[in-house]
Amino acid sequence: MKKLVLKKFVIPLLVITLVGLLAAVVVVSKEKEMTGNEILKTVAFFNQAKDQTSKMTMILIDKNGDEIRKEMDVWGKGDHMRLIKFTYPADIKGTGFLVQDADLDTEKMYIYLSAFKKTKRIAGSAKGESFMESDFSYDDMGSFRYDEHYDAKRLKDKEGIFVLELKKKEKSEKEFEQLVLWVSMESRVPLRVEFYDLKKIGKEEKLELKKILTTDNAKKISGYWIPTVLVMEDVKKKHMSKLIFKDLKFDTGLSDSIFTERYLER
Amino acid sequence: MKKIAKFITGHPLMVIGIIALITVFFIISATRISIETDIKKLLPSNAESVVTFNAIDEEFGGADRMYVIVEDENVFDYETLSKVDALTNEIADISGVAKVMSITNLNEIKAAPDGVEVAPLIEEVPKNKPEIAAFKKKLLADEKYAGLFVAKDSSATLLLVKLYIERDKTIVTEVEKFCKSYEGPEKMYISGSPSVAHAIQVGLVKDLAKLTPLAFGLVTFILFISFRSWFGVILPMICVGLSSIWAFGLMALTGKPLTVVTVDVPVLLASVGSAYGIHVLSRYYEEDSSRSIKEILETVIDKTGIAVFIAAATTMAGFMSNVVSDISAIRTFGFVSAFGIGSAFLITISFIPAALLLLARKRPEAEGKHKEENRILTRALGGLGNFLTTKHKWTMILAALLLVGALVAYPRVTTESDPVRYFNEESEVVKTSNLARGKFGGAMTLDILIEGDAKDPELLRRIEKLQKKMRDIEILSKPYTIVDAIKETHRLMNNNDKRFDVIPDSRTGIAQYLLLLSLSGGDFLQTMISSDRRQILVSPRVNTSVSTKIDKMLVKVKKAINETFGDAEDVSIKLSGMSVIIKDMREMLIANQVQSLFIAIGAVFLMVLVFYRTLIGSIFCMIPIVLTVMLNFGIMGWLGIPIDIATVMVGSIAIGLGIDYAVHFFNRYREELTGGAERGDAIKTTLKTVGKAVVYNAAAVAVGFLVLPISEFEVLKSFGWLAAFAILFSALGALALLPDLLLSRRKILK
Repeated sequence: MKKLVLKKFVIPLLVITLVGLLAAVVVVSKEKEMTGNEILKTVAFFNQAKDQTSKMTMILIDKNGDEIRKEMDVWGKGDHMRLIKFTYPADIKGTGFLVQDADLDTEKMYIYLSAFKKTKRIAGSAKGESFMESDFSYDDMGSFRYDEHYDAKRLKDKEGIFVLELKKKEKSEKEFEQLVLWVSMESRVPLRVEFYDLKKIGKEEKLELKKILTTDNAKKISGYWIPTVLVMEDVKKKHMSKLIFKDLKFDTGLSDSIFTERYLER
Repeated sequence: MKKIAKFITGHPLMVIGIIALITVFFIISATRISIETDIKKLLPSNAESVVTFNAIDEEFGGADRMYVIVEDENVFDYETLSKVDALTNEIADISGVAKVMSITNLNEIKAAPDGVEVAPLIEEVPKNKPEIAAFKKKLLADEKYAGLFVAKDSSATLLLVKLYIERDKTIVTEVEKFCKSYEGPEKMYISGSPSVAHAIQVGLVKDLAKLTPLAFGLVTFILFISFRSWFGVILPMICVGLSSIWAFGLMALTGKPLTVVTVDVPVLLASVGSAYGIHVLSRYYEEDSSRSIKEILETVIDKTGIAVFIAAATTMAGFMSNVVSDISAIRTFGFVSAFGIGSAFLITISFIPAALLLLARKRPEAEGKHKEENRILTRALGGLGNFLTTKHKWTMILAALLLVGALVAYPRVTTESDPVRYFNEESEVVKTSNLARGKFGGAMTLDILIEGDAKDPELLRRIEKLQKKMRDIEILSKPYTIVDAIKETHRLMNNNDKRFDVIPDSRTGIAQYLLLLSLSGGDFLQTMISSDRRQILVSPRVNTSVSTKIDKMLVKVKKAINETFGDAEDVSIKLSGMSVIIKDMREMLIANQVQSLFIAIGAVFLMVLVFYRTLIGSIFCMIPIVLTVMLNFGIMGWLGIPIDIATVMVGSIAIGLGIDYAVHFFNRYREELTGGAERGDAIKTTLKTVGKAVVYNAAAVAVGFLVLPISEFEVLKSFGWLAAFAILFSALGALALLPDLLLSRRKILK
């Protein structure tokens, strides 16, 4: 009887436990062994969904803590279509900004000025330039897919956090030479990004910290982890810009017709 | 005094030990001394122009402006333009640089296919001839660029480098290095106040290394002529050397930087402080040599101690009067030089006797040659005595005539505070500044900061009006402002129709244009309007090298502002920029000058009154000095030497130093009278004794000051000449005018 019990229950149990343990060990050790680039691929970047809508508040904060606030509704589809409609302050309410083929050679930008009821094409700034006088550049506002442009090296973990050192790939034309990325192990949300630029001092080249992005209040919405507060600090100017996202919705099946001049003027 | 004398002669080793310890302490401190050559850092930090400058720096990204000029026969060729482009990018990368604007990276509002855009003038440097020709044509036809970023004759182009106020001082050297690497055949120049400040720093270090040893050498030489003795030369020089170390030590200890004004403190101490040593040693050689050295020295300290103390105290008062200045460099000069003088006194009165006691076995006799030279001087002074006692009032008449001659020139006295004018006409700084003025409308700016609702069409129209009025002010360039940008946008949004080259009527319209420009232009707006849309910056360049022209320009600008904004509500306008800072500096120079002169005269007069308790005597002692100061300004008027950061101090220095001669003279004269001498004889005796010391002293001090004309700086050159003159004249006043006054008093009394 005892043998039977042993055979029937204890052995399978043991096996299951062992297998489970083994699996756990494998998973854990795999996590330990994951290379920088592997981790980088798993990072929950900001535009993972097919489409998204949100209300965004942009706050510029200067050295003295004085704030300037702008509010807008934002729609995005894929990597290349974006629409912004400003809602605050009152004097720009109703104006809109449409980007088609963002980041592509065929990129087109339109602005609708409600005061004149006119839509005009505008040319975008250079990618590294400031977006609406904030500390975010157009580049920062666009794709956050660092894995396409950077090679990651894994540094020593912090508690619950992967720390990656990202070196710009040779072909990439990104502005920053090196990034240091903190990624939450649990949600894979980027928690902090340090942006370094290469600075020449005589013959020597030195990395200089330019900007720091910190994120906060990450939420899981429709299966996607997303930080809802982003703060970019310009280290040199001691100036900060904060983006706060509300009413985030993903994969609602936005129609392409939203990203047209006609919709822009509506 | 006797007790002090006894202590010093009783403990010579201890005295020297204490002095050595203090010196070591100050040497250690002095190694931390810093240099400050930025003119705005010399102004009080709460001056409105400085506060506004800082606000502009923060809101508009870098308020300090430097100008890199690339000169070539024709800058419109691929090679030169490529260099400009590379230089623009490299300089922009230096930390502390806020922004670089040049013809290869300037953004402008353009018409685009069915729209507008803010885009660079050129995407990349044009390569082929037609492209380059088109680029050239475009730039020269646009007053935003022609004469501001590219010379109208194509012979040069300018890179405007905006610097943050807080930055490394090495930035200019870094820019220089980059420029050097691209030089040839193009010539590169760097202008603007940061580069001037850098040139001042370089000159200052040179000056310190050049002037200090030379002044010490010359004064040593003068001392050697007067004493022909080893002790007579070395001991006073050690005293002033130590006092210089103490003064610089104190400066470093209190965190005060070395400036173009304080760099001459060692020169001043060498020439002025050595006089105390002369007094002490003169007396030492005068005393009966049959007594022991210790006894002699005790008498020397006792007899000369008070006289030297009074001399030092009045000199300190003269120097100290500068601490009322609003200009920090002059304040520092005031207390550091006064401290140096005080140190020189203390060291002289203790160190010289202590050293003599330890080193000299027997007081050496003065040598023959020494006596012979004295005889010439004695005869001259004797002649002067005879002249004064027989033909009195002549010197008074002469003095009165000189005074009238000086007063005539007073309206011609000017003030100057542009740091460029520290340098002579042949210097690189002036040449570069002239180049910037000739081809690019100047190397300094006027910043007009307008605070109000910048989206209000009414406000923008007023600014438009102001800009129009300012076009009539010759030395101002035409600035490109947010008003121009809004008008251009409005026109381009309306199919480039000229009728729309105006400010739109609606506030929301302006707000939305600004949004458009911020979406398209990156930091295009940043140099013109603040991100909260509450501040607008209008910054024309100022084309002048003369401070008085800045004044006239500012009067006109203020008038234009009053006319356009007089009835505007909720608008505040502040002026800053290097031109305003220079003007503030000048106003302070004049206000402080009057203040410190009165304080110096008052303090010195009170001291003489307290020490000698004779009202008429004190007044008489002051007369030659006051006259000297008044003549000094006359000379400045006649020779066109402006009151500047250095020459402004000549007056108070002359008072502090010159009074010594009168006081010495008066003191000895009274001693003679007390001894029963008749007044005429007393004058003669005083001339022969004190007169000699005064001549030696004045010669040494004047020679010391005459080192300054080889300075790197025009301001110190003028200062040297004027100070030397003032010393000689106050000595002459004490030896000729004062006796005449004293003798005439006898007549009055009789």
